[in-house]
Amino acid sequence: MSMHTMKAMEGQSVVAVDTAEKIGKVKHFVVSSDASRIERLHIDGRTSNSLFAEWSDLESFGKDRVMVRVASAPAESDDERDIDAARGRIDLLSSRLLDSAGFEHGTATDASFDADDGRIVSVTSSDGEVIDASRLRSIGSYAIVFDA
Amino acid sequence: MNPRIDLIRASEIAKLPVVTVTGGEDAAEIRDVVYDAEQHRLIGFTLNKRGWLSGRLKTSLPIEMVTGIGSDAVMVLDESCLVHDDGAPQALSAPKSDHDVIGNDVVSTSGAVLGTVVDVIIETGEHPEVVGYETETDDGNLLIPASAQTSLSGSNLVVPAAAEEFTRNDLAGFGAAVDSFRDRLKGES
Repeated sequence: MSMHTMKAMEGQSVVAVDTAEKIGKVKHFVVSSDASRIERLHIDGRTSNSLFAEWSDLESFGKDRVMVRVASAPAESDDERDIDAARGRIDLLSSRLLDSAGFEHGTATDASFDADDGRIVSVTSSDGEVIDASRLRSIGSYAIVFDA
Repeated sequence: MNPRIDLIRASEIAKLPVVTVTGGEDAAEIRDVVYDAEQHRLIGFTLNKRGWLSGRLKTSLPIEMVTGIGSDAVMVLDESCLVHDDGAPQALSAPKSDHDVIGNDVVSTSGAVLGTVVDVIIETGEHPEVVGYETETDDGNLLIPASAQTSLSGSNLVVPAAAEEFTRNDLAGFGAAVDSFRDRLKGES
């Protein structure tokens, strides 16, 4: 398992292996609705022309760059969830943390993930609480919900 | 993090968001708490839309669909838990206004008036229920445990005389007082 944190990766340049050109920066992580894994990266644009790199198109997460196999692979998306991520409406790194009993635990400030498969490993709260991924239930526009 | 609580006033639930566990979305906002004052049973909640253009939703939330009530949200599994008023129990879609306990005088069977009801106390958790009433008195507010032995007329709420011994001034310790009161009534029956 190769562990990374979202905060450290945010803003990092995305470079294509085949052309060596910089094609964007990591702007947002598009996380699955069950908060279990990163599905793709929002790497450029903000609204209608946003560019996304699928997890399967990524070569590696290095300490200095995120590498994409093919420069032409990242594409625009009309998926509502992708657009919400690009607009910051659903953003794990500022999302409210709410347990399943209806109590807030601050906001998410960081999350660690396995760079091999994009699986979320844990989420850290503004209260310093580390929430294991096994407790995560969902992430939506209102909150990340986890088992109390 | 807000402190963990077991008891909450009904008035504090109003305006809380209704959040889906499987979606992380705020599906609605609590408009009003609906309960059966004769049976001390929570029936559910009427709902408002979320946001600036909030208005009454044509859906309501039966208590059976609620998975948690906290100080920050009322939790449901998903949006299908919100039931259209056409299909909701009548007690929820058209609650009986003549059985509203707010404004009733609480009278004990010993003849003492224990104030006027200003709020309803609800125990949160997996099976939320009404456990008491908050009354306003000349000496401040009083929390009075509810029990099956309570009767309601529309202007008076009559409670067993034993309830007087288990009243409290704040929510801290009131849950334990309710349990002790109910144990006492069980012992007497």
